[in-house]
Amino acid sequence: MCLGVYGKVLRVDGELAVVDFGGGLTKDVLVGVEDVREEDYVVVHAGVIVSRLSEKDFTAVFDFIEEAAKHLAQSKSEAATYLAQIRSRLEENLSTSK
Amino acid sequence: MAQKGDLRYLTKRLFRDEILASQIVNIVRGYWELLRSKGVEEVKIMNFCGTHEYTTTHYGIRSILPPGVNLVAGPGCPVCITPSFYVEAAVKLALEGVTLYTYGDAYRLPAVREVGGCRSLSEARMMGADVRVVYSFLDAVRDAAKHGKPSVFLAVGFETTCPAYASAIANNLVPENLTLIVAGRLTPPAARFSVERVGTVSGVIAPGHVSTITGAGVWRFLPEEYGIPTVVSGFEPLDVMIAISLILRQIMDGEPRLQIEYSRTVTMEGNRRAKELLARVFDVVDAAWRGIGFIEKSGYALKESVSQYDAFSRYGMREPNRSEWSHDLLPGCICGQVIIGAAKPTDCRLFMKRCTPGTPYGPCMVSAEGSCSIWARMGGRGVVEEVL
Ligand code: SF4
Repeated sequence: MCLGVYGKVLRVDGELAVVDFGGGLTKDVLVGVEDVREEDYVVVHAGVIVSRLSEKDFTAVFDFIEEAAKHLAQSKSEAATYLAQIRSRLEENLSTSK
Repeated sequence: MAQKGDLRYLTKRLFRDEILASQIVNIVRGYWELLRSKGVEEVKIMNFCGTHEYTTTHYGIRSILPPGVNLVAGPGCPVCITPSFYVEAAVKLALEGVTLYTYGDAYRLPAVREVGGCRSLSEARMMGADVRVVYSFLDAVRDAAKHGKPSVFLAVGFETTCPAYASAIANNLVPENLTLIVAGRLTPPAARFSVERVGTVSGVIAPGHVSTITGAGVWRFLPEEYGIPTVVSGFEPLDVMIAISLILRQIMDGEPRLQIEYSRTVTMEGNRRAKELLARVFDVVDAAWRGIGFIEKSGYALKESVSQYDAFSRYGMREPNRSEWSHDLLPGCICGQVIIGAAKPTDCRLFMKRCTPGTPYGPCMVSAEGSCSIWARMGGRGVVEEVL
């Protein structure tokens, strides 16, 4: 029951919002965060929006992985090349989506 | 492409990517080798969320880790730690004709003492009681408003679930006929309790969704007071793997601190609005945890100003206090130890014998997020070694 589910906000109406969970499933939920807008990606937990997903921070996790790979002297390895490739494709994907 | 930029889709693709996973496994192994060369023989990393334990077990993360990296499940399941007396009170009210609402996991949660021949809400329903399982508190609010009959919600949950109650109450959405048995609990006090009891915790994977509400900052006490590297992590397999690598790195550097791996949704401050709602509706009080006893400042209780929503006062009941609380596990069940990470499910003599997901005996086997249930359904490391 602690499972948070990602969804996309379709409508906001005061304290309530309609969220699309994908696969044709939409639900009324309580708005638990400030400034939720249509099109926002959110984390819904037991019928409440508890958080928003940040596009800006989506790839931040790569900083950790790249740093670790470098730290372990694998910077010239395939790993580093793969990481760099995926990061740039993701960033491109995110920037062109809106 | 329809899925372009869809964060739901990208999360699944990115954080389950096999090649990326193998790179991170290499990083974990790299750090582990360095630690071994410094003479470290074992690290114990504890999680505090049933969903982290699910991810760990479901994706077989234990089996791809070096043998000295030991992942332990701490108190991460709000249903498992719900004291028996709440279930007993709910069953009593249900048998007296009150409509009882709760979530699916709590529906089957067994009490220690029988009430009217029933040990759980599911048994009360079989006896004809009106027990309704809902997905959210909002569903119960709407349903109760429609029929208008006396109704009670068995309100279990951690910081992530309790804003639902707070929001509905603060916004006057709850109908007069619906009251709550508030069994909400806070995770940081239980984390403190567990690391003190277990004693040898070398790292903590802190719960991502709890932290969306509380803010990652609530976990600062772990590195600062106990010297434990702490990483707030997401729930995809790579989130957990990255958190493990960050913890190993911190151990290696000898600089325990708090890091947020789940930065796509967690901040240091958390969700201001939800925190305000919680503070408006609930007091934080000393509270009982099943199989464990009272933990200081670890439970939510309705404030005096909203006491009209309290089921106990509406129906002339009250919660047992510290001196009245009694051990609330059935004989042989060691959930109290499993919950704080002091024992593995396989340490219990009843595991997969008297106690199975089909016929659960203890609370950790009932809830889908209980460690015993997760290990029973998906296996934990060591099961084969121990059985053969
Ligand atoms: S296996 Fe069953 S009886 Fe044993 S600790 Fe787990 S829930 Fe309790």
